[in-house]
Amino acid sequence: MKRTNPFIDHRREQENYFSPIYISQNEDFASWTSLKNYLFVGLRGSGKTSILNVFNYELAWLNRSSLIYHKDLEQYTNIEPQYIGVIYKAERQEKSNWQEWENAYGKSNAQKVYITYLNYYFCAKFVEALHCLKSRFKKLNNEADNEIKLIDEILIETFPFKSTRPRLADYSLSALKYKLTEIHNQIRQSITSLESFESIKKYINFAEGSEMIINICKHINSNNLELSDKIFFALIDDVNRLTDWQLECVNSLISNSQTPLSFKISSVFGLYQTKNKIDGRALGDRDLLTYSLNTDADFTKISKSLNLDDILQAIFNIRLKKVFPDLESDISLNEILGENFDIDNLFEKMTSPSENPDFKKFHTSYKGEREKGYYKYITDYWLDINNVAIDKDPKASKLKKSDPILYTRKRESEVYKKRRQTTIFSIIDEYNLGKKLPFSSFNYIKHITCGSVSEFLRICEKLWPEIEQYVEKSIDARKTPTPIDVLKQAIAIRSVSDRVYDGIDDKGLRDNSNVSCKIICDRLSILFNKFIKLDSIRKTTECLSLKINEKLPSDLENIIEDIILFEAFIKLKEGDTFKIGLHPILSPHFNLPYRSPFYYSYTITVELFRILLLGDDSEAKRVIERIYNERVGSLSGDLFNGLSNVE
Amino acid sequence: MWNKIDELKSSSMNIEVYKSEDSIIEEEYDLAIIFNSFDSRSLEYAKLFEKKVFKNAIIISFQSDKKQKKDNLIQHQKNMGILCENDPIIISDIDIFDYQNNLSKILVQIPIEALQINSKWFMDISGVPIIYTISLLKQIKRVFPSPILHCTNFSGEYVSDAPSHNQFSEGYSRDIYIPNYAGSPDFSKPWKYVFLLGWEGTRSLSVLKKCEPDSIEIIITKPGYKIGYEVEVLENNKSFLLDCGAQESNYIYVDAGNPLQIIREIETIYLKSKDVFNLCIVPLGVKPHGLGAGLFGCLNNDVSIMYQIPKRYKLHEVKRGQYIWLYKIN
Repeated sequence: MKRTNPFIDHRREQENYFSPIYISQNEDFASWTSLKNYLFVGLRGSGKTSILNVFNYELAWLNRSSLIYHKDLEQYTNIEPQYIGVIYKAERQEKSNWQEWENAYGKSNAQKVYITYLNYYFCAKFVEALHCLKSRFKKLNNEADNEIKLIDEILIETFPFKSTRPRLADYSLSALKYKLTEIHNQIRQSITSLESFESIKKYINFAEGSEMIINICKHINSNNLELSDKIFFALIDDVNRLTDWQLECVNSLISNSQTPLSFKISSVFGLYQTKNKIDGRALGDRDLLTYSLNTDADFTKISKSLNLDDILQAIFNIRLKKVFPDLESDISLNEILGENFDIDNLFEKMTSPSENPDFKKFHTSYKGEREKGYYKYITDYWLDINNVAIDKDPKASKLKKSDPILYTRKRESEVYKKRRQTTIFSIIDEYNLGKKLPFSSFNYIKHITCGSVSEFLRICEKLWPEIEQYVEKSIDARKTPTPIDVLKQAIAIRSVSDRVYDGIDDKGLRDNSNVSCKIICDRLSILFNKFIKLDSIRKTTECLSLKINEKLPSDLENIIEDIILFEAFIKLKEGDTFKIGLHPILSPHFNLPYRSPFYYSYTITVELFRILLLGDDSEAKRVIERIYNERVGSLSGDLFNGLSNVE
Repeated sequence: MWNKIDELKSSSMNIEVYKSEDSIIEEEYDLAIIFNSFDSRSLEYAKLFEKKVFKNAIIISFQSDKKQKKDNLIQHQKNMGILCENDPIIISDIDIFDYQNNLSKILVQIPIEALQINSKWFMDISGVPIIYTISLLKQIKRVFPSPILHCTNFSGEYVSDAPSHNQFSEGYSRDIYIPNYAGSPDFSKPWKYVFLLGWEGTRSLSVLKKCEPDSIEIIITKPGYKIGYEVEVLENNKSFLLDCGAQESNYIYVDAGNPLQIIREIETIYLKSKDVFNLCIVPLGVKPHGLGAGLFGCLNNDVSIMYQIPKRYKLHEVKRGQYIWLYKIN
């Protein structure tokens, strides 16, 4: 039976609108649903929007069946939500349209209008939420409900001047919502058609801070007994789409919020650009708590994140059950993909010694040594014949034959395991074996996708025939499924990596220059590739990121932001210090190691960084050579000596 | 002879589509709006008329240092000497990227006698960036009394098959809503984007990556202006199509010259999805498809239409192809 591939749609959002949302185990859930303001950060597809949607009244109140709680959160399953959340999904084009208006009429005016715009939006949405809840739940329409009084109060709040106060078509919440939405839309139309500040001033009453929204929430509390203890969430999704001055408006709203209003916002990791408010002061840490969906923003920990395991496991099975309605128990990702894999075995599986005479000679020699029991891994053999001493003890390499127990212990150590990863790439390079994509298993998929559910779904899409076969066998009691072949996984992962690369923009970033986002990625890959060459391996492990200790000029920052959106870079910002690495998803494409990009960053000046990114090809090549020479040259002697440029 | 191909009647607009290989137009117009373009195709409209048929004319010419464009402007002026009763109003040397100001400049130049009941206007859309055509269209439909608008479009014959010849723009600076088409979306709802695909595949991919629509629909030109047009479109948009995960069976194919087919296809999508999604149309393909998107946006104010501003427009020669299309918008 041919089934539709359920992984074709890679967007996690698909789960939000048409399928259940899985709320994973999280001790912070109670805190999230409190009055504290939260910023959720994560990479694309990490589930930021899903969390905000859980707070949205349309799901939390009206479509509770769409929420699947982890067993530890069962106390939330049957109780009425204590909150009413409404969501604002920031739109990308706003950046351009609002920016153009700000350029024409000034930041201060733009901020006045934008704050007002958000105020009217949230007021309209809370009125809409109340209207919908009252239509659905009869208990909200009791004797204590004073709708007419509430409408009056909201009208006075939103249109303080009697002369401009609109007359409603009928005295209903629905008509009121329509009027408030009209103001919001009118502001937006004025901005997109670049109407002057003076003409906008004629039809709106400017709001300051979030008082208008807070007061409306208070009026809802006081006019409906059933809702008197509810709190209200203003949810803003993807604040990274806003300009800095717009974000200052959002920060001002947040700092100004008080009972019963709270803000929950989300941003792509590394792109929440400013904590400043309109008055120039910064938002305090306690004003806005940050929750990272990628475990401490440290990508090295992604593969160990249980939270991510739960989410991927849940989404994977939700998708499977769409096409396998008879599937009763969940399929374990650790079982179907394998938890880990042996890189040497996979490499040997993918490599035919006959494809290169030199490699054949090397391979035959290795096999002879292996049969004698000296070597378990091809990478160890290569390291030894190239005299790459990994141990500080210069006699270490001789220990292998004289002391087999110590030798084995050393070879199974973490230092050797890490070195082996890099070595595989050097062997591929030395013998021109082409791209042999040694990536496989659930842990590595989590690692190279950096917590991106979308990329995970893309890999599943590619593996669908194997997944389908596995599930069929799982359902059939007479059969025992076996994990998906590591080689097939490697091919699927490589294909997704190539697709991400293909998607990077290749249009020139500047007039009269061919440098594009794609070329910048190529340049960095050439640099990082040099660090897995033999000369580098002798001295240190690979380097997959650059560190800049100064504030980046805005043009470079914009380019980096664009490349991050193409999922080709990842960035770690610590104060004014940046670490920029190639996204691990590109590692299979560029044949680079897949360890954390932020290990051993190479420190570079802004000046060199600019030439590396935007200079012409020959200038960039000179920078690459200079960095390589400085790094490798400075690392003479012992492995851990002279690492002045390396963190 | 003009063959009536299609017709759409709605409460606010009637649209008729005609096609011909070599007919002339015998009607008379109160105003002609002519955009000076680089290609020779955009001069062809003059051959449709045999006498003075325009009472007034506005010629718009953007800044350019290309001799061909300067020559074309002179030719337009000569054409109007033959076809127009009054001296044409010339708006020249304006920056093509200054959309809002340019639109205002054009609108203020419209003579009052062209704004009477049953006034009839003519515009050739063959060489005009779609942002101007449909922004003006919506403005025209907003005024009272709204004039009857006749638009012509000449199918193109491309002088080269080289990939670079198929690029009509370079780079992109920003994504904006086309003036008057910001729509009135509900920002709590997800977005469905309708991509009208063209030759420039990185444009679609860039919109997809930057705007991250929650759902998409894909419309491809078929038949196009030349045999195999759609194959090139699919090839050029390969990365986009792979990235969005669209199913080939869901691609919608629409004739290059007929904007009414586009309206109907978008309407079907709109009716199915309007309760769940905000709708945004992204016209990246042929001009009649862009016109169709604009007409749909005139009929449905809540819909948004997006435009990706390029860093520069690339100028190529396009000759007149086999067909002339005439759209009567009332």
